[in-house]
Amino acid sequence: MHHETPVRRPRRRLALAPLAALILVLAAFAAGCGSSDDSSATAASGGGGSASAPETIKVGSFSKAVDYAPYLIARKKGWFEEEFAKDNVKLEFKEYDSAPSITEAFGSNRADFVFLAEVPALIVQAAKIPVRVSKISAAIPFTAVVAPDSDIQTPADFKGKKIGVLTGTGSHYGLLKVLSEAGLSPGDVEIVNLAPDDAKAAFESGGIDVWAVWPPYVQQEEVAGQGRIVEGGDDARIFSILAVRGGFYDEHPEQVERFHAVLDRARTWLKDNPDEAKAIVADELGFDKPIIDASWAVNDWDAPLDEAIVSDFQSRAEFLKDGGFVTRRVDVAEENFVALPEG
Amino acid sequence: MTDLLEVAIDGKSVRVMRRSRQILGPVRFGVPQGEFVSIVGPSGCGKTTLLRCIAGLDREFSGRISVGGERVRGPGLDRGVVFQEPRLMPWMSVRDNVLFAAPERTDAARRRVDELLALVGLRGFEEHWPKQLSGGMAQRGGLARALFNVPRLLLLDEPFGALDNFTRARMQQELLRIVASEHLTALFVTHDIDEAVMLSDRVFVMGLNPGTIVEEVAVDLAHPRDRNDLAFVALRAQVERLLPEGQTAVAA
Amino acid sequence: MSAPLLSLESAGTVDGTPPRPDASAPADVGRPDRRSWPRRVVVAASYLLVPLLLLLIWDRAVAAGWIPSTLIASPGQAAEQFFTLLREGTLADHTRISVGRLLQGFAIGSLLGIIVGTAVGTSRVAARLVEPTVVTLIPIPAVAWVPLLIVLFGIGELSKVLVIAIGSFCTLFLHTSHGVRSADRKLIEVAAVLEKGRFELVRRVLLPSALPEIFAAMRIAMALSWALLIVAEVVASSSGLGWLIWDARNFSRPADMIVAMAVTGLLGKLSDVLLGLLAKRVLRWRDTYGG
Repeated sequence: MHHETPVRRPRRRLALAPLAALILVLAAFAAGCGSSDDSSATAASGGGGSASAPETIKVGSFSKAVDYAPYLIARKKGWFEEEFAKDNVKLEFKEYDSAPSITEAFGSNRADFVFLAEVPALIVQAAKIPVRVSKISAAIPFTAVVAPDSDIQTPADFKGKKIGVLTGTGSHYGLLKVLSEAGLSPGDVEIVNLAPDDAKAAFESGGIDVWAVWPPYVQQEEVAGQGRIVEGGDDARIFSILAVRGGFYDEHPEQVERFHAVLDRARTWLKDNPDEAKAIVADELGFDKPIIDASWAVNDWDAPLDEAIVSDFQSRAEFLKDGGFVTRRVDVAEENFVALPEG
Repeated sequence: MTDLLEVAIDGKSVRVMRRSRQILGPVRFGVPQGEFVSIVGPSGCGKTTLLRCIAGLDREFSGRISVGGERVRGPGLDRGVVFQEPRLMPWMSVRDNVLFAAPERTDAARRRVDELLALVGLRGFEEHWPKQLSGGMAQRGGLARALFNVPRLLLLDEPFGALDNFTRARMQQELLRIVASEHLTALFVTHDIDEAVMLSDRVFVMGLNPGTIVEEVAVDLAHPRDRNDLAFVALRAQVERLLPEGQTAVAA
Repeated sequence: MSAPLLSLESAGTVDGTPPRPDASAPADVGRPDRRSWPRRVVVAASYLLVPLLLLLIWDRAVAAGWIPSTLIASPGQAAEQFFTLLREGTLADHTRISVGRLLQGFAIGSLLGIIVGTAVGTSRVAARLVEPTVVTLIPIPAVAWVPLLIVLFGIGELSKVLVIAIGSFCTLFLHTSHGVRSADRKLIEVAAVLEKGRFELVRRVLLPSALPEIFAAMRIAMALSWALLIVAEVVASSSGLGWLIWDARNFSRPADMIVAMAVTGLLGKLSDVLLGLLAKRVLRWRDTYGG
């Protein structure tokens, strides 16, 4: 049943082709290998000067937070369009749900202004994608929720617990800060990466003991009777900031100025009309008004962007590098990470 | 004395594309214990179908078949079957394939398996996979398996078709010897007239459309039989005359 | 013509070519001798050619800036980081945790899939009871189960193992029930003639007959399990290769990300190779074209 057919001689030329090609590839590799430098091509080109106005300005925000109030109010009231229509500039608004998507957006010039916390902005900067922090929307304390009947009173009680937090956010940093202040190391707790929606389910079903997150999420649990808020100290404050893409900042300084003007207008209005402001924020974020009411007080709308901030951010940058989170130590001053206001 | 096998089929039809085709017409015969009967006929006459009905593998017919007085309701150990293909389980060695026939895998069973394999000429190949056997060898394995339980009625469907002349002749003699010594009754389907006359006590000739037994030819020759013997030749011619022209296989 | 019994033993040689005792080698019809040294080098070259070409393109792309180095590291950086992580023990820890989850999920899911698949394939009653439900649930991608599993079982190991198990179960169920139902009717008739009971029929005919398809399904399920593992570890985890990929992406540590991805890929390949070897051994009775 198994017969042998005559053996064919291999065609020598064809058999050698893979070998020859391999040698070529290896040679090309060796020639080029030595020169693989880290040329990050996203550095901003040349300084100052007003380039012609961009066609579209792309604005984004990271997740939902009450501290974006000035932005939310200005957006709802159409003040951005009012201001930029003079130059026929359109605006696009987008919500991001993860830090990497913001990094990638900045890196590929698909975002110009993003509202987020200082930690995600530092992560972008550490990835050698230049951004400038030019405004503080608000400063808030570190907050976390625990079960109403939990025996956790202070961060020191976090020891041995399961803590849900979205890693790479201000809350994550705040958590690590309060742990170290309480004399605990990250190994003393179990930190689980959870986005707000997943964390809510996990927290309410008892899957995690502590949920480290920002307003209005903490207040949402409290108002619903599902949680009790634990706060951190002053050193664990979180800053809700505006980050501008480095290239944009250098090429269109006057657009940046106008953007700031809109935000300042919104901040003034917010302080004069708190109740209406809360209503707008509740509507824009999709939370009930009582929750926004409860979240309002912790926001310091007047936190200044000054030298103290520069050194504060520097210590955060060090923390991120020393903790092994990022691979590069950002030099906040040297890299103009913080764009201090003139005068 | 009642016959071991009693066949009383009224008919069998199948539906093919909204039309009824009659595969078998009335078939009635009896086979006494110990007799060797061959069924010859052109292809498509339904001889395999008839065999399957007797084996209990085909129950879609009207009529009645009984073995040993009991009505046939399904396949059983009392009716051993050697199929047209070897039908060995590919994942079992030759030995395990024959051992498969044993109700229990005892040492005695294993010894019997080895005996049977030697009998059919497969000694030395017990541990081989079926894929390593030639068609003829596999078919012999199937025969060994069918013989394991010494069935009262042995049904064989062209079992030696894939063998060369030399081996086929030897297997025919072996079969006759086993059937005689174990007092088996055999029903043997073939299209080879020589084979039928060589082996049988009676030859049933089946016709087409629908399949019925057209004629019975008794073969009264003593064993061992010589195919060149005059009486043999005459009987062979008689059978051949009964078959439709050009539709038989000449002795290979 | 009454030849002695002994002469039949040599009948094997009369039919034609004697069978080879080791016929498990592929039919190397017409292929030149594989064992000569120049031939071996050329064969090795053909395996390496495409991967090296891809590595080259990758390295050039990062060096020239076509791909931002903030998001993708170069092969050199990734290699360097690999040794760093290895030295620190991080890689070993995460790998151990991930592999543990994978094996548990794969084993549980596959075993259940084979059992239920066999039941459904061999029993009409079981099929009527079980099949409609299972067949409706199978098209739901396993990842879609993650939120529900987290709600039901929390964010611990169990929900991750279950995601993987669900994926494996679906694959094995489908292929086992199909494989069993595809058994050759001719062989089933042999068992019927020999009055084999249902249990023996399943154990000695239907299941072995389905084994080739079951093994193929296991390799598919294994690949799927790796994918599900990574997804499960991204959502609610604090450890594992999937977590590492997410964490590295989150904090823009592209070298870490590449290392974790590469290790995952290599382990995936390794597990497939092991399964393939196992299949080859168990299925050595098959008479098929080897490719």
